[in-house]
Amino acid sequence: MNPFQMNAMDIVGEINEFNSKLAQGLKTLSELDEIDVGVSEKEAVYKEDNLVLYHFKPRVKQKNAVPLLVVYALVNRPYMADLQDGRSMIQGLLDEGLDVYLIDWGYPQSVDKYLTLDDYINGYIDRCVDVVRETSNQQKINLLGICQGGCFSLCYTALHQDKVKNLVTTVTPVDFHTKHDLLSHMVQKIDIDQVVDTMGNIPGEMLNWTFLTLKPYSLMGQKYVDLVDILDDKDKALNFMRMEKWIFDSPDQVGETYREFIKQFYQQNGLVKGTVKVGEQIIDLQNIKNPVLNIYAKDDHLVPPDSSKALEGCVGTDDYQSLEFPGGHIGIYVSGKAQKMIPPSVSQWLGERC
Amino acid sequence: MSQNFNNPFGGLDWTDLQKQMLETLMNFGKQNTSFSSSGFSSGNGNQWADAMDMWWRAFKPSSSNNNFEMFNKMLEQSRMFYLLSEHFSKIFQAFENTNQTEQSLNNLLVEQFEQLQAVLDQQHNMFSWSQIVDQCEQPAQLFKNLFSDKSIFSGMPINDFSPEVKKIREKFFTMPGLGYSREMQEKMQEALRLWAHYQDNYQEFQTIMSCLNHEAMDLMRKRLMKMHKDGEKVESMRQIYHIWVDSNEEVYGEFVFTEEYSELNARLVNSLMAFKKQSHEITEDYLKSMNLPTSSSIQALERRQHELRKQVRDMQAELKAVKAELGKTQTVSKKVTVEDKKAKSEKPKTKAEHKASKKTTKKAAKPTVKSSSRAVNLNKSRKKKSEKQAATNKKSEIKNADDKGMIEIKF
Repeated sequence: MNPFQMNAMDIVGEINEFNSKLAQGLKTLSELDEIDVGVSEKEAVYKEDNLVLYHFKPRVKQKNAVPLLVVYALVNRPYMADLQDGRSMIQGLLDEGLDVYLIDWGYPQSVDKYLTLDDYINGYIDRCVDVVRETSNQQKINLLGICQGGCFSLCYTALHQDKVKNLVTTVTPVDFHTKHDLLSHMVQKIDIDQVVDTMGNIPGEMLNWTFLTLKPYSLMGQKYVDLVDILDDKDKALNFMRMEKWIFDSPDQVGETYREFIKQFYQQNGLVKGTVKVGEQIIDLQNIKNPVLNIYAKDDHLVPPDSSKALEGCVGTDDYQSLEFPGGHIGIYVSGKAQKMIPPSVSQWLGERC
Repeated sequence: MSQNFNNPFGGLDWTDLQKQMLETLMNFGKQNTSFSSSGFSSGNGNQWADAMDMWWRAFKPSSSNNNFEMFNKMLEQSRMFYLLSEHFSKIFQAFENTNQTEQSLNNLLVEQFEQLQAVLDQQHNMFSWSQIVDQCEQPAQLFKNLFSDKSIFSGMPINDFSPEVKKIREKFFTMPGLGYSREMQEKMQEALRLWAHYQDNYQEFQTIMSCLNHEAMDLMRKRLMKMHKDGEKVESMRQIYHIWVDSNEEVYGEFVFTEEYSELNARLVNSLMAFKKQSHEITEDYLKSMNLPTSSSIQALERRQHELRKQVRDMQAELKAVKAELGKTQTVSKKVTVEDKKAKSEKPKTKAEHKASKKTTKKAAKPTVKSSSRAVNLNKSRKKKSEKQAATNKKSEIKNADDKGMIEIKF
């Protein structure tokens, strides 16, 4: 039997339909103005260098007096957690009656290239935590770390037990040497010292390129061909463009922090081995005695589930819980499924530990 | 075309062009029921892609839309889709003319895929390293300029990687430096060696990626054969495109987890960085000779600034702690004073005094509040003074720290 159930007219017809969609799609794109991102109303309560600490305005009556500080990664921009109406983890948390703060790291400049992990963890994060504690009049606050921000939150919590009540980590790598960790595999033999010494700050484009090469044909090709099917709908086009904007909105990485992070976390797997050094202090995750909720994504191609799940055996707390999200690394924040699952779960878990 | 900006498809209507082509093909189809590849391709190009490119060339200059980059990505991938469509239409046509056995399908796929691979090899490689190399184009260009006619290395073929030229270059790399410009000559030789080393790695990377593409085509052929065997149907060109993407992703996905890839990737990045670093050094030498600021001098300033910033923050934290401590002490001393007064006022010696004291307790309460409020005012005023003083001290401390920092930090 002929497996190709197409004749000449079918093919020409399909391509013609594709072309019409493509033309319509390009027309839709040309009509789009500025892509708006970040939906929840917020106020800057603290600024330092490039950093801005935001406090989100409540949307409902607060149910939990202990504020929640969201620590974002240095990679990409934090508006991914608050992308648009109905696709915002922040919005969901506010609707659960939580008092939410978020650290926006901004865009590092050349002058920031000597900032270290110590500056970020014992400096910036600690000062933000103090601001939140003072503002809310709470001795201890809740932390929620996102990806690399989760690693920072773990380090911070291990060093500052007196200031953290509960810790939530989301898609956070802990064991960097698991079987399916492609990012880790790619950087194992790269001379990071030479890269940082040569480049200073690491260009955001270089990181983009690295992420795209994880699945090049899907991420650089297929995505744009399949896009023609949704571009007749302006709202869907806008949704796509918001994600696209976020993906390519990559701040440069501060050189010294990049050096320390890649070498100690990725190459030496120091977080599970207990060898990560922040300033003069060694990070021992066993010091974390407060409750921990670890949320990971089942289909995460950037942070494999096994990498996150390793946290259970590392922390010193008796109150550890994990939650598997049925989706990917980004879907956990922006998908419809995530909106129904993540904020309510976090809120309930924190509520039980007020 | 600017007048057509509101209608980006005005002027030259690409969809009209496509319709015309469709009509031509349909007429052709009426005369001949079999496929005709000539309907799809003209010479080495692809008419669908050509029409799209023609429209895009006309539209592009008139538009200032911010989504240009997005347009380009879509158009680039659409070209790939057209290319696959064109080649598969040839396969379908050829297959229709055979006895449609498994063997004939396999032979056809092998033959046509070889042709397709040859075309893909000439296309822009999705995996092009050029995106990252762009970051390094500037130093590379500068380096190339050094081999211009005015250079002592003029005529050196740095981008020729034939074995013969490679031999000559290797000899050149080991040539001892001579005379006044010996140091610079050695640095240039080293840069050239690093550039050649990087180019070798780049070539190796591209060769391996190309092999992966071939493997992917082979996997795709096997998948189509399996579909044929299982009686599954391919009903659209998009389905073909997805099979092509999945096959490439699978082959690539397997390779990137190997040790070979880890080493290949590292060699490529490390050699590129080594060349770039050497280029920086050469650039620095030139800038220094012209008494212009260099990258290292700016880095030194940035490091000093970073250290100073840290010192200021540490002092701010200390100041805050001192203030808090001072506040505690003042509160305690205030409490002690009030308690002392209270104790004195509550120290009746005689019954009469005790009674009198009891009587005056209520009256005394008011003045106590007054005096307490006075104390608060006094404290506020003291606090202001102390803050002013602290600010002055801080300024002088920062200045001192500045001086200190400039002396202490050595590079």
